[in-house]
Amino acid sequence: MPETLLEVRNLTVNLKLGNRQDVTAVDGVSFSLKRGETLGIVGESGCGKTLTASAVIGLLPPYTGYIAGGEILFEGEDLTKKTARQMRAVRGAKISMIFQDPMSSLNPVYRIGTQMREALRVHRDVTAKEAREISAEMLRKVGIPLPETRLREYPHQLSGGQRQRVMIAMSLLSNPSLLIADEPTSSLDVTIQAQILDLIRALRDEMGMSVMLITHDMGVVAGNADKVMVMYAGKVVEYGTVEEIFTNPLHPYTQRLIGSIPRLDMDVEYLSTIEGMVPPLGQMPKGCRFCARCPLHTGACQEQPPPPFRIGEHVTFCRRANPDFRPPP
Amino acid sequence: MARYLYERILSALLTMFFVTAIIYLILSLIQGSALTVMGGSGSEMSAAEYEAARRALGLDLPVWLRYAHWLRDVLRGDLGSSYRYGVPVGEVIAQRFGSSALLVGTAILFTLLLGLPVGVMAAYKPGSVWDRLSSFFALAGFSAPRFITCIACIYVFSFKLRLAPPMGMHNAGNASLLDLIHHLIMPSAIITFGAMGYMIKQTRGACLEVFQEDYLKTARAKGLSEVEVIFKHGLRTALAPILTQMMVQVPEIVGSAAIVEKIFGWPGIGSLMLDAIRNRDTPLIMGVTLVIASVVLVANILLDLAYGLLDPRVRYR
Repeated sequence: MPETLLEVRNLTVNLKLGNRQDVTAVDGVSFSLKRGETLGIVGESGCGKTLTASAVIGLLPPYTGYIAGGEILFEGEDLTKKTARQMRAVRGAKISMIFQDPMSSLNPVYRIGTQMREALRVHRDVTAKEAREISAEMLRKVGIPLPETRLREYPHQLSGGQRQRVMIAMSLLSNPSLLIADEPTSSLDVTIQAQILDLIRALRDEMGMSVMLITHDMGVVAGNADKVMVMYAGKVVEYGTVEEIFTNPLHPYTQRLIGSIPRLDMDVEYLSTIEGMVPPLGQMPKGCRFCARCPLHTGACQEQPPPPFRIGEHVTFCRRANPDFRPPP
Repeated sequence: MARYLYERILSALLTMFFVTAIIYLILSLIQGSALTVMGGSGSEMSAAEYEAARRALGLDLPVWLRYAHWLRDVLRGDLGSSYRYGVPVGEVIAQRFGSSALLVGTAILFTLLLGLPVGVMAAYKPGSVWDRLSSFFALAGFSAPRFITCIACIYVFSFKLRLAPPMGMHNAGNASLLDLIHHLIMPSAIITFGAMGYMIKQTRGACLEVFQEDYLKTARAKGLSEVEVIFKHGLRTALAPILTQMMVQVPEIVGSAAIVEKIFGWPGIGSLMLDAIRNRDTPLIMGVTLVIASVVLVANILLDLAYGLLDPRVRYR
C-alpha cells in the first residue's frame, strides 16, 4: 500500500473582489493522493479546479486569492502554515506545475536552455555546463530530438507540442514528487494531446511521482487517472476511483459529464449537454448547488446542502444517490 | 540586416532633407532678417550700405536658391558662418554640444532609472495607493508647462531655500565637478520630471499586459522570488515595447531641454538655437537643426536595432 503524499482537508479559498465582500470560490474541498497515483479533477470552467491546485502549490492569484481555511498536508507538513519563502523552496522542487497554453507559458525572450537552467539553479547549485547536460538529458527523456540544439533556441522556434514537452521537462528537473498539470492538452491538437498524456503517464511511472490532472474532459480522465474528483461550483460533488466513477456514477452531474463524451461505439444523433450555467460566485444557492440544472431535484435539495453518501472510498454529495431516499410525496 | 539598415539610413536622409527644407522656408517667412536685428532700426546704415550688406549675405536671392546654396555647402561639409558671431557654425555648435549632451543625457538616464521601477510597481498592484500616487505624479509631470516648472523651482529652491543655483553651469572661477553637479541638478531634474510621466505610463501599460502572461506563473512555479519574477521575467519582456515608446519621446526631451537651457542660462545648443532664432541667424539655426535632427534620427535607428536584441522574435528584412 503506497503512502499518502498529499492530503487536503476542508480547503476553502476566498477571492477578494475590490470593494465588495470576499467570495468563497473553493468551499470545503477534501481529497487525498497517494504516491505514484494520478488524481483527475474534473468540472466546468469556474468550478474551482485551478484554484484548488493553485492553493496546493501556493500560486493563488496575488492579492486576490487566499486560503481561508483547511489544511494541505504534503509529505506530512501543512503547506498552509508555511511562509512565502518556505513555499518557494517547495515550488519547482517538490511540487511542479504546467499550464494550459504552452504558447504563452514559456518566456519569449529567453532561450530554452536559459529558462531550464534558471529552474535548476533556484534549487540546486550547478555549473552552467552541468545545467546544460542535465537539461539536455531531460529534454531527451520527454522525446525532444536534438536536445542540444533546442537548448539554444527560443520558444517561438518550437511547435506547441514541443513547447509543452519543454514545459514538462522543465518542471521535472528537480525530480518533484507531485506534478500539477492544469489542462495540459486543452490547447493542443488531438494527436498531440494523446502523446502528451502518454508522456506524462510514462514519466509518472518512471519517476514515481504523483500527478494532479486538471481537465474538463471526462475522456482524458478515463484513460489517465486513478482517482477522480468531480467539482461543481466550488464544491466536490463526487469522488472515487476511476472505475467506480465510470461504471457507477452516482451524482447527476457526473452522469451528465460522462454522457457528454463522444463515443465511437454508439450511434447517437446529438451529444447530450447540460442545460443552464454555473451559479455566479457570491450568489450560491443555500441548498445543493447543482439544483437549478438538475432534472432530479426535490424540495429538500433547494433547502439544505446534500449530505455525503459513501460506498467505501466512493463519496457523492447527492440525496438521490442514496437508495433509501424517498422524495416527499 | 544590412539591407534593413541601408533602407533606414536612406529614409533618414530623406527625412533630413524635408526637415531642413521646411525649416529654411519657415525662416524666410519670419518678420525681419539678420540685418534688421543687427542694425537695430537700421538708422546707422545708409540705404546703399544696407543693400550691400544684404547682397553680401545673399539675402537678395530667392529662398529656394538660398536653400540650394546652403544644401550644396553642407554636402561639401561647410555649415557656413554665423551672421551674428562671424565664426564657422560648426565651431559654435561644437563649443555648446557637450554641455547639452550632459544635460539631456543626465535627464534621460534618470528618466529610465526612476520611471522604469515606478511604472513596474504601479503595474504590480493596479489601483493601489502607490499606483494612484505615481499616476498623479506622471500626470503632473507631463502636463505642467516646462517654463512654469522652471520658474517655480527657481523661486522655491534658489531664492527661498537657497539650495541650488538658478543660473549657468559653473560659479565664476570654480570649475570643480561638484560645482558642475550642483548646477546640473535642477535643470536636469525638471526635464526628468517632464519626461518621467510618460515613461511611468508606458512602463505601467506594457507591464500590466506582461504581468497577465502565463510565463510569469511559470516563473513563480519554478520557485523564483517575486523580485526575480517581476524584473527578470516581467520588466525584461516589457522592455521592447517600452523602448518603442521612448523613440517618440526623444524629440520631446530635446525640445523641452531647449526651454530649460534658456531659462537656466545653460550654455547648450538648445539655448543657442533660441538665441539664433531671435537674431535671425539662418546658418546657425540650420546648423543646430541639422545636429538635433541627426541626433533624433540616429537615436531612432539605434533604438530600432535594440528592439531586435531585446525581442528575439523580431527579424530585420
